[in-house]
Amino acid sequence: MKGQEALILSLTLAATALVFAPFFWILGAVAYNGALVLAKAGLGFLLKRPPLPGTNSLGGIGTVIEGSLLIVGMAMAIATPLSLLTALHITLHEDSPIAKLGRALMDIMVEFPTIVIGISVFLIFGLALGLGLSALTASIALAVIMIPYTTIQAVEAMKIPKEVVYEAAVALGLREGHVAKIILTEGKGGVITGVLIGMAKIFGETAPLLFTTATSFDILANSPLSPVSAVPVLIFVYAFSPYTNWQEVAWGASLVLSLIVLGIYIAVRLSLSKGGLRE
Amino acid sequence: MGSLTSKPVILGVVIVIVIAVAVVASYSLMFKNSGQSKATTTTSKVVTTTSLMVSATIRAGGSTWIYPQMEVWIRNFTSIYPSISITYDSVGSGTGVTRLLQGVYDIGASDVPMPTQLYENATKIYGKVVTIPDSIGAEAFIYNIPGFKGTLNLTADIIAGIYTGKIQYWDDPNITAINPGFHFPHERIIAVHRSDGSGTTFTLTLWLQKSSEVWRSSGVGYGYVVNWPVDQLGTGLGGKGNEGVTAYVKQNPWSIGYVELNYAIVNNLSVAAVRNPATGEFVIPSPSSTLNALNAVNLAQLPSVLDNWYPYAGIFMNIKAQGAYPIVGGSYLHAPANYTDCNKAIAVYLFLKYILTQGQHELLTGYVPLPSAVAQKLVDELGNDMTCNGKPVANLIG
Repeated sequence: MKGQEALILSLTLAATALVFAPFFWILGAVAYNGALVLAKAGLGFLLKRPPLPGTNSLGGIGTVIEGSLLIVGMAMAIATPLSLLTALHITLHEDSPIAKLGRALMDIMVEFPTIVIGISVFLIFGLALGLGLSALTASIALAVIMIPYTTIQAVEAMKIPKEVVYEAAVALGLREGHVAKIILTEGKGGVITGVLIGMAKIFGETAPLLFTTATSFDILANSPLSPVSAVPVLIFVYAFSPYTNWQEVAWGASLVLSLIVLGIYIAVRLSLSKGGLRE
Repeated sequence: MGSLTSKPVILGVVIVIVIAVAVVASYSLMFKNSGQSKATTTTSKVVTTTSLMVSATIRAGGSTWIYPQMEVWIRNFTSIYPSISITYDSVGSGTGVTRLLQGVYDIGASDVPMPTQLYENATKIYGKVVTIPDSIGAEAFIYNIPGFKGTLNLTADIIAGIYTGKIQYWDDPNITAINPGFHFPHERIIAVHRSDGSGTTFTLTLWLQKSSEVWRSSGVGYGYVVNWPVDQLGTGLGGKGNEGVTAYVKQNPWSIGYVELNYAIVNNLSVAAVRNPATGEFVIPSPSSTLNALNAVNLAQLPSVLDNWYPYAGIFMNIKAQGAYPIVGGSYLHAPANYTDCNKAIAVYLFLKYILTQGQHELLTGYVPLPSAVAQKLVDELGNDMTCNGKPVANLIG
């Protein structure tokens, strides 16, 4: 019996170590190569325009950071209210057919291939509705990807408050608006987590952007309908180019993107621990 | 309490959005100002005020080969014309043409002229379409033969033999006869090709179709993607992009593969000499051996900008001239010829004209310029054949 326990322990430990290895290897490679580039390019890397190919210049990724912030911001503006309202409905009317269907749909959408979402959004919004390859088309694609993440998180976060307060609230004769407010308030930590997780998810998303953004990285979007580009797309295109300076910019951009996404997850941990304390 | 604490959620979201919008706005202002001030000081003397005031957005995309070069052209062009903005998407030649037909792009870039069927569709949609070559490239063969020094010699029939599986070993008499300095062992040849649809594959297979009876009789034909017979033998390997092909050749001893010349130069790859069927001479691919071919092209044979260029796809190949490399192809831009938006018409014309004139002096390593007589002929035709509301664009600008 003792031997069996030790065997299982060592097996699980080995598996865990094996899972850790590629994670640290990837992180190490990005940190090392990216840091070399950032050290060479300086802080201007975050502000300057991308360099011309085959030169010694590194330039920067200022324009694509702007593009990413713009489309992620717009996607959040679209997705956040929709997700929260959907989550409220699913929570408050969990036995209704629409709520059940909504919950099931969200579970499917979360696993849906994002490249399919990208091409569908391009065909419907870009071509049929004439939005073209624009910031708006890109942010709609990202919003569609973000909504199920945020909704599912928010539903989970509202579950306990709902069980605790719903019957009391109904017994007191409170209207739906009041109940919603209470549930939202009590589940606040989880709801913010949902929004942040959705944000982290779409910040690094590449596949749908290949159909909806430009690969010209020297552009600044100044309206929802102007063409836009994003950090992950720059990494994709520059990494495969034959030019060393573009490959270096791709490493630098990978580090910046990783730091942004890690930063968001740290914010998630913080908001989770705060939410936990409240309960 | 409830109403008080629900606010931070919304507040957080609002703050994120506000920050994003603020950053976006400040950036746009910053770049707009810097771009404009730079351009007016450096180049106002070169261009007339009327064309400088043209304001338009051009969407272009397609060929991944021309993409780095296009970024150079766009950067330099828009610094002269700051009110024209141009985007180029590196999405592949096929997608570039499709999106031109869908109306998503104003200019579609392809490594071969768009095929006749698509050209006919385009003329149905747009009335008339202009086609210009924007620069010239060559295909180079790279190889991994342990111990081999010097330059490998190849012919169209040997290449066709390798990729159809008729020639399977390096000590094949066809190969050893033209490479006498090296004792080739009895090793299987691994033939690496592009797995993705590519203009590179198109140019190579078109050249084989023109140059090799072995290839023609195999029935493989030519296109962005073909059915490589060598894959069925298990000694063919498909790599994505030039980098994929190069990686496979480096990893596998006794392999051979093809890449674009500029890629081979930038990455210092050793390349094979190929026999030009027109002269019988073995020529190493380089910008100068590509130019040798270009300078001898019969200009009278070139179609006009309004023509279907597809039948002329092989016009730069197998040119009969001293030191002319045989596997040479152009990269092409397609755009509608007739416009109702005159700003758009002038902007597209100015950009195409820039590429054919000043742009030919801004080429990256391995991209070869058009002969200047050809470029001038194309510019003149564009000025007359591109119109806005029936008026030639050349007459619209001072």
